[in-house]
Parts: sequence; structure tokens; C-alpha cells
Amino acid sequence: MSLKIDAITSEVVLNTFQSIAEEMNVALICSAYSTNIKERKDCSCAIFDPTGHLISLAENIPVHLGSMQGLMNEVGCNPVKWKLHPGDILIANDPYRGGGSHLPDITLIMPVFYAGKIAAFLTNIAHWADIGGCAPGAGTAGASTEIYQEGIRIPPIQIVHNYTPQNNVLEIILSNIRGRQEREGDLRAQISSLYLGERRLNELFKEYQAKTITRVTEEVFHYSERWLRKALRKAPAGTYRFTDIMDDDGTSEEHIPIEVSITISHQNRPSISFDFSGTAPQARGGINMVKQALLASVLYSVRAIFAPKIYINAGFQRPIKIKAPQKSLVNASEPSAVGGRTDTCQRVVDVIMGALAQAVPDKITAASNGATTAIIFGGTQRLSGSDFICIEALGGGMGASYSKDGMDGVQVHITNTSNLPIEALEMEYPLRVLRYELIKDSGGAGQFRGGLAIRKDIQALVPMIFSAHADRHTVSPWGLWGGKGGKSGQFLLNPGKSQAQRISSKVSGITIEKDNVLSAQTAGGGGIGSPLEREKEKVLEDYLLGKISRRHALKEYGVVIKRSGKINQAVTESSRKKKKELERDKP
Amino acid sequence: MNIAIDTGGTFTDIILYDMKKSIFWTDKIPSNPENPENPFIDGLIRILKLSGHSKNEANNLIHGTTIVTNSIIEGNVAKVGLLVTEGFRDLLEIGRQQRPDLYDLKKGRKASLVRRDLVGEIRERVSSNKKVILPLDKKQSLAQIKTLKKKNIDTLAISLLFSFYHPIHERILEKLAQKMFDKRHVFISSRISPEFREFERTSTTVIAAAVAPKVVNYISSIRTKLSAQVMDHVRMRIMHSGGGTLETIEAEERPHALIESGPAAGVVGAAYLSKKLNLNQVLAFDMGGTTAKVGMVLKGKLQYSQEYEVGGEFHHAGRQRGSGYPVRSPMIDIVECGAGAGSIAWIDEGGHLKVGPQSAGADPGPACYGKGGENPTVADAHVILGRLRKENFLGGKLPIYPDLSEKVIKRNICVPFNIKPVKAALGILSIANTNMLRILRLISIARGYDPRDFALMAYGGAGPLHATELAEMISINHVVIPFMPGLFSSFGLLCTELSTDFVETIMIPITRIGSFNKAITRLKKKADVWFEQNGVIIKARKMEVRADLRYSHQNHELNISLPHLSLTKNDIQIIQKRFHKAHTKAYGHYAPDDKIQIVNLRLRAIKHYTKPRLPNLDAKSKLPVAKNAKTRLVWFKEGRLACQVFKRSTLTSGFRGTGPAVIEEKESTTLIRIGWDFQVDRFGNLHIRRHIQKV
Repeated sequence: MSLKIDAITSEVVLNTFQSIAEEMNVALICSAYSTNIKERKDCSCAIFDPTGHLISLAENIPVHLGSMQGLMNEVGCNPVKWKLHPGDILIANDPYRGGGSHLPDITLIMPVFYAGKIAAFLTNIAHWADIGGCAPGAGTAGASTEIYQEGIRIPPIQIVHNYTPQNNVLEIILSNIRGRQEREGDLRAQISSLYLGERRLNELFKEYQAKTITRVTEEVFHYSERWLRKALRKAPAGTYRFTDIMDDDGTSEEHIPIEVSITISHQNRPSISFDFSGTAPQARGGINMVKQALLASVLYSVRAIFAPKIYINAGFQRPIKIKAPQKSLVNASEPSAVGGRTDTCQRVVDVIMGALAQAVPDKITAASNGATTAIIFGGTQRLSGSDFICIEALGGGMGASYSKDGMDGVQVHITNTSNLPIEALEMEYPLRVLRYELIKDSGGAGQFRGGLAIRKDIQALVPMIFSAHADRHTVSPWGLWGGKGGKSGQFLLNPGKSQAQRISSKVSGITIEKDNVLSAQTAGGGGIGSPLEREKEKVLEDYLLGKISRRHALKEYGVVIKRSGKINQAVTESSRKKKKELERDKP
Repeated sequence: MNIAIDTGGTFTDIILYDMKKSIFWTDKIPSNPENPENPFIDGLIRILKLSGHSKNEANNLIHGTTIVTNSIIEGNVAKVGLLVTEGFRDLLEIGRQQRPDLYDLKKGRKASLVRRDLVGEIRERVSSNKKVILPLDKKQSLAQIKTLKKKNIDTLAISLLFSFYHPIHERILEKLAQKMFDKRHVFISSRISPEFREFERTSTTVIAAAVAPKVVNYISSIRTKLSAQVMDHVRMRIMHSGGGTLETIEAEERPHALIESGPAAGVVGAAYLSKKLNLNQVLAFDMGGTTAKVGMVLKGKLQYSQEYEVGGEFHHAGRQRGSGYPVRSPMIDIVECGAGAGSIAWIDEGGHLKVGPQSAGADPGPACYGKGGENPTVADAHVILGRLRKENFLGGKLPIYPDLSEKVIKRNICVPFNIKPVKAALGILSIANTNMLRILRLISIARGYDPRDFALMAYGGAGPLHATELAEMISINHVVIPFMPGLFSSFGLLCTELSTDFVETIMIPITRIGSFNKAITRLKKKADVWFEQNGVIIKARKMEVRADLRYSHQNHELNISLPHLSLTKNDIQIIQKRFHKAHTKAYGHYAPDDKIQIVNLRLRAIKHYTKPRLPNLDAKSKLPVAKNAKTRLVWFKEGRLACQVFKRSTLTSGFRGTGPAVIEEKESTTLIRIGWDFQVDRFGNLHIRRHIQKV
């Protein structure tokens, strides 16, 4: 039978694998307890082959793959050590010993046996709202200097044995975190999702023989590999470099560079390699990435740039090589703090986009809001006296692309969590949202405009603790080929009032008094191409829609809009001409 | 006499049911998407002629329409203005702040149905504990409405925070607005969707406002046409997505409820038929030209979901979340995917064969139509395999060109893969089938059911062609092909009730019986007003109450039916048990010690109609069976097998046969695989059962 015919069979089996991962994901979302998983879908599921190669992924958050692959590698390289039996489930979150990428991401892994042998591994991951540590949500806050402050570390350990939860282990974990009842519910949901996957995989193994499945998975790996290599062949070979700078690590105001050198090679078989030499050493503050997080960020970028529709699996990873200096910001060592690593992940994607802009200008975007902007409120409910933790992740502007404006107010790149409905937030927590809107003039000007940033003003109805990690508060997202950068973000306490106070982008456990308002503002996306090349009508439309001001239209785009809401054509022509000449005269 | 008219994308199906004689008359004519009312009237007149009835006798008309869905997909909607609470003008722009595709950097969100400059902010605020923190500023409100009026909006949607708790502010705005706008063009969220979660509530209200003028015009143009035919006496009801029907006047008030009214009708038909056949668990499977849809029927009862995205895009299994506009309205739970007879087979970048979600549609359609289709489709694969024949395709009304099917399959699939056409055709079908299996699984397994316990009821033009193959793949042993499968949605229309839904968000622990009962009473009162308006006598009034329940820490609800309209302590225990059970069913676990919270209370008010009697085959068909005994060679994955070919219209009650077989009828073709037997029941339904259990 020729390989091509297998392409049909493997499509059929692939479809089934994909369907199983999706069903696991649906079941997990539906039955979880915490809003973070249920409403924001901060979870993912995956299936691996017995040797630890990714077969199928149902992801809501691209960065999750890193932790699932990480734990898989820990377990897969020594299955004997773990003495795995049917009905056993391991749990882990530790970036240094458990393949995780930050502590709140709890990953579970379960072997699936067929005919007495491990035939596959199932994993799922869910972002828990709290994992202990020095403050509510500390594992996400990014203001720590050591991982010990960020919460309980769980190396791979059996949480379920022979379909029975191990209560002693469970008790240690739950005793170290806030809101144990909710966490217990989430864990139960994660376990049930694995059971569902096991049931379905067993059906699949019964239907096809193990041999067929092995052959099919190998063909599926080839399939994704072929696809990516084909796409890489279309890109010009060469080495492309880019550097971007992060605001700071929360412990000082020092800027932190991330540097990449990407080589696309057509020799032998097309491949792409990433070298992060030149990137800053690991930071004191909690913005470090471990290698699993870097892997996930690179895989995301390659897929988004070269093959958005590809099936992500082990074969997809074959043409990709990653090199990162030890003990650097993007390959940190124990005991570096990693809670705010998603901001860095976002920046790694921006840096890759910046480098590949030289190779495939039509496939990338200018810099996006470049942070995940997680804000965390914690405290005690006034009436019930019970603890609460509320985590919000805010989107922002997306960078413009070669032929399109960037999206306004959206989650970009390595995350795609949804917001919590305002009504759900206010019913659940002693918080009130006063404002939730796009920020005018925040999108980087350009022939194609960067997306607008988001502003969310939240009032504390009881005294509470606030933690956060964000970036792009001082270094704004860049534009390309004449496009301007997006507006930076900021955290403001009591905006618009005389005692308004700026809060830095990475904080842990600062007190917010009753009735005070925290205004979280993210960054806008960078623009592409000269703003003077943007069609006048589009500039006018942005003005009419309230996305830019008249002043901005004039200053950035040279478009003069009359009070009547019409373009002053003659003045616009001359103003644009003059600006173009000025631009040309610039060195 | 009842007449059902189901307007689909390609065809308008008409059934006339003569109640006195229990006879069905059917017809199928091409749809006219520009003027759907034309085939509506033409079809109506034709069926009356065909059946020899006078216009006077047509008194009861039930209509399923795609007008709402289509107008949103095509962006052919009204200019909508929106009023929201100050500080929240971007509720629709930001939505859930998600992008529809994780990796496709160029895939944007659908443009909001309201231009950003047509959103006005109102100074007012209500808190989560139902208190007014900032009273509505009337003067400022009036100014905002006037501004929008000046911008020439067609309709106005109003959606304030916490209006489901405190609708007064919205009502004040409604009153102010009605002075400046047609009453039928002002929509407030506390009437349209009085439930919590502001984005979905606002989106639903905006959709109602966006499609309202279109719906009003459509209904009035039908009325005008009826009038021109001297048929003013016709009483028309329109199918809503919740499985019931609305009087036209209510359809104008709640136009968002008309989304997906056609597919819902099919599932209603399946529910009715499964009751008649005593089938406990049925998967209702509808496969047409561009999509396949599946609904679940349990003990003859429909299953509902409370949210849907209209205008969303398909990916291989189901819709892409975030690619459409959310609508919240009780909907028959239907999962769909882009797999139909017209779905296109293609090779992706990695060299795998894919089928759909792109479709050749009705024009040019599959290559075999000979209308210039250059892409191989599922229908072409069936032609290659000898399953579809020209003599039989749509009753021979449309010609079929098998050589064209072969040409495109050879060029697009055989050459790159270096395989024979038959292998390519089998490949296309097996991939289309796995796509459909995913939705069959999604609806059953993901909801805690085992598909093997179900019967598969297949209809739509292409459903019966795929049914036994699908059943075999998912281990279902009983397939039912209803009589008239090609017009089954129209049959479903004949089985509908008059019904409407009321909802209230209450957010209380389930143990608070007093508040619980009070809320039910409030909804009952609303229902009684509705019954009065629709002239339903007290005896004929039926009400069903359900509650959306969750453990108090959760944020997703399960919809549970309540035993009575007035609850006792004992009832509460029953409800708790039901919830735990449903939770276990859906998610595999439950938490007996956790508190249960009632989020929404839902009441459906229903007026029943006499259902059509199923045809009785014993009485009429007496054709000798021998006439059927032709054979034809058809390709299966096992090879080329000689199939017995039957004309369905000649099969008598009790007739039995063995697969492989092909049963042909005017609107559809049923394929029966080897290893399956079939039998015709006394109503004319085909029961296909597996006789060799798979090892």
C-alpha cells in the first residue's frame, strides 16, 4: 500500500484523535469549578504516543503545550521509575522538576494501556486561580524573586492510583493553597476529563490494531513535517536578527533585552533554527521563562507565521531547532521566579515576528500589546468572610499586518483567554467595574493601523490586595516600515483624581483601600507602513468611529478633518505632501 | 387542513396534510433567496392544485424560514443604534476579547452589527445586589436618543448592566425612544433576553434589532401576496429555534428567535416519530447540500441549549467559536458541521485528503450537475461508486453527468495521489463520514451519553445515503429512515406546537422555596397574559418549568426540568437529585455536599395542536414485491457488490430485505450496507438493523 493511500486512512484516524482531545477539553471546561477555567477556558488537553511524541492537541492557550510536553518528557524518559499502572494519574506543576512553565498551571498525565502495554498518554492542563505563595495569585503575579515565593511546587507525583484519588497527596497540595474547595472541584474535573479520554482511546484501539495506530501516527508526523518544510522552502533562506526590550523585571527599572537570530535553511531539507544568544541573563524578578515555555512560544510563532492550519504534533517540531543560553531570561534555572513568564513569552513572539519581517513581510504582524496583563484582586468577602481571588487577563491591541489593521481589544499570540462578564465579576466579588473600553489613539499609526488597547477601571468595594504582571508600560510596541508604535500601557490608582498614582507593571500584594479605583490600561499594537500612505477615507472612518481623535488624524496621518466630520481635501493634500518631504529629508 | 412550507437554501419544500383523510401531498421547488416569498406563494398554490383543494380550505399554515440567518450571514441588516451603561460603549467591540482563530494572524472578528459611532452611553448604574447606585439621567438619555435619531438609525437596541434584575431604567428609555421611533423598532434587553452576562444579552438584543425590519417586511409581503390570492383567512405560524411556533405578530417582536428554524423542525419531526415508534434515545441526523446537523431526542423529548452563534464559520467538526454573533434564546440543541452532498474534496498543504467545509453549494453545485462545478464533491463520489443514478436524482428532475464527476475526481484526487477513482471516492466518503462522526459524538458523548444506545434517524437529501455507514462506525445497530426523508423538516413543521419562552435570572440557593415559587408565579402570570393574547382557552394551556442550576462555585449551568409549577420541600429534593444525576451524566462526577444555586428560571407556555396521523401502508400499497427485484453493482469498501434496488414507493408494510441494497425514492436514496437487514414498518418507515455483530 502506498504512502499516499495511508494519507486517507491517517486523516480518518487523525480526525478521531482530534475529536477525543476536543471532547476531553469540553468536559473539562464544563465541569470545572473556577471561573478561570470555566469562563476564560484557561486549559488545554493533549494526547501523546507511548514514546512521548505529541499526537493531538485541543488547546485554548498555545503556551500550554509547553507544560504538557514538559511533563511528558519527565515521565516519558523514565516510565519504569513511575511504576505506571492502568488508572494511575500523575500531577505536576514545577518548572524545574515537573516540566511546567509556571506554578499555577497544573498538569495531569495518565497512561492508557492496551493489551498490557502503555499505548498512549493523555494530559490536560488547567490554570488554577491560586497555588499558594506569598500573596493571593502570587504564582501569576510575577513580582517574586525566587520560585519559593510563588507557591507550592509539585514534582511529578501520583495523585490517582488505580482510579482512586490519593488523599494524602491531595491534602498536602490543598493545604498549601487558597480557596481549597474550588481547587478540589477543578482537580476533579481534570481527572474526569482524563477518564473520558481513556474510555475513548480504548474504543479506538479496539477498532484499529495497535500496529495500525503506530503506523498512522508516524504518517501523521510525516504529514505535518512535510507541510512545514514545504512552507519553509517558500521562505528565503538566510539569517535574520532582531532585538526588543522588556520594561523591567519588577525589581529594578533596568530594561531587559531579548535577542534572536533565526536561520532559515534550504539545505538538505528545509529547516528553521532559533538562537537566543544575546538575550539578558535570567532576571531577579519573576519574568523568567523555562525551556518549555520557550518551546511553546517558538512553536506558536512558527505555526502562526508559516502554517496556521497545520496539525501541531511531534512531526511539526522536527524542522525546528532552538538554542538558548543557560541561565538566561528565556532558559532560566532553579530557583528563578517565573510567575510572570507569559509577558516574556509574548515578547519572544514579537521578537520572532520582528526578525522574520525581513524574510516573510506578508506573514507577520508588527508588535502587539506584548503582555498578558494579569491583574489579581484578593481579599475577604465582607458578608460571608470567605476568601476570594479574582484574576483577570486583559487583551490589548494587535499589531498591524502587511495588508490589514491589527485587531482592537483582543488577546494576542500565546494566550486567548476570554474576559469574565462584568455581571459575573460583580456578582462574585466585591468589585465594581466602572469602565471597560478601547483607548482612543492607542493604535500605532500606519498605512495599516495597530489595534487599540483596552482600559478597565475596577473599584474595590472592600479593602483588598492587588497583584499584577504586565509589560509595555515604558517600552511601547514597535511598528514596521514607517509604521508608528502603539501607545504604552499603565496601571493607575484613582485615575482622573488629584491623588492619582501610577503603579508599576509588576507588583505583588499592594493594598487597595475601599472605594479606590484601579485603572488597568494595556498597550496598543504597532502600525505597518507610513501613516501618510493610509487612505484618507480610512483615517476619517477611524475618526468617525471614535478610534482616533482629530488631533491624532492631523499629527500622525496629516489628514485634516473639519468639525463637520468631512475631510478638508486641499489642506490634507498639502499637509501630507509637506510631511512626506520632511520624512524624506530625514537621515 | 395544514400546510407546511420550509424554505431552505436550495429548495422550498411544501407538504399539505389533509387531516380528514390523513393524506400527505408533497412538492419541492427551487428557492429564491432574493425573494423567498415568491416560491412560498407559488408552492402554496401548486400544492393546492395538486391535491385538488380550494384556497378556502387552506386555513393553517406553518412556515420555516432562513430569512434571519441569511440576512445576518449576508450582512443585509438594519442600521442599529445601541444604548448602554456609561463606560461600556465597547461591549460589542471587545466582546469576549478573543480572536476566532488562535493561529491565523489575518483572521479578524466579524464586524460588530452596530457601528461604534452609533453606540450611546447612558448615565445610570444598577449594582449586583439590585440597587440603583446612579439613577437614570433622563435629560442626558433623551439627548443620546436624539443624537442617534439624527444619525438615521433604523432600529434601536437598549442594553444596560444588571437590567435583568432591574428593568426600570431600560423601560424608561424604551418609553422615551418609542416617541421617536416605530414601536416595533425599539428593543430592550430585559424583554429580549432577561438573563445575566451582558455581552450575550446585548448581542441578542442587537440581533433582534438588526433583523426586525427584514422580518416585518417579509411577513407583510407574504400577507400581501396571500391577499392577492384572496387568501387573507390563512393563519400563519412561524417556526422558532426552540422547536415551537410563533404567531407572526410575536415573530416580529422576537425576530432573533427565528434563527435556524428549518433544522429545528427536522428534530421536532424526529421527536414525534420516535414517540410513535417507542424509541427511547434517538440521534436525529440531517444531511443536506452544505451541512450536516445532529440533534438528540431522549424519550421523545427535545434537548435544548441556551446559546448559539449565528453567522459563525464552520471548521471540520462544528462551528468555530467566536466567529459569529452570540444569540441567547432557547434553541433545540443542534450540532452541525460543514459536511454535505456539495462539500468539496481537496488536498491540504501536508498532502492529506480533506472534505469540506467549503461547499459547491447549489450553484454551480457538484461537478455531476453539469453547471460548471470544477471541484469533486461528496455527491460526485457517490456517483462514481454507482450509488446515485441520474434516473433517480431528485426524481429525475435534474440531469446528472457521471463523466464530469469522474473527470474532476481524476484530475484533483487520483492524479496527485496516484490512485483509482473508486479508491478516491471511497476516501472522500470515509473522511466526510469521520467529520460527521465527530458531531454525532460531540452531541452524545460530550453530554454523557453512549451513542451505541441510540437509534440513528437519518433524513435530508443525503442523510439516508450515509446513515448505515455512520451507524457502523459509531456502533449503532438501528437506523431509521423516516417516510419522506427528503421533506422531513416540513413534516416536522406539521408536528409543532404554539409556544413561547419566558426567563428570569434569580440567583438564589435552591433551598429558598419561597423565592423560588414566587419567581415561578411571576413567570406564570406572564404566560397567562401571552395565552390571552393568543386566544388560548384555559383548558388548552400547558406550562413547563425548567431551571438552570449549578454548584454555587461554578459558572456554567445545567438545565433541569422541575416536577411542578408550585414546589414543595420534597420537590426540591427531587430537583437536587435530578441535578446531581445530570451533572454526573454530563461530567462524570457530582458533589453531594456542595450548595446548588438557581441561576435562571425558564417557563415555556405551550398550546398543543392535533398532530398529523402517520400514513398507514397496509391500507393502500399492494404492489407485488417481485417487480422490485432489480440489481445493480455498487462500490463499497469491501469491493463491488451486487445490490438489490428497490423503489421505495412500492415497498409494502412488513417488507423485508437484506443489504447490500439501494432503496430509491423521489427525494432521496437509501444505501444499506452488507451485514444489515431492513424492514418497512406500517407507517412506511425503513428500519435498518445490523445482523452481524462486529467482532
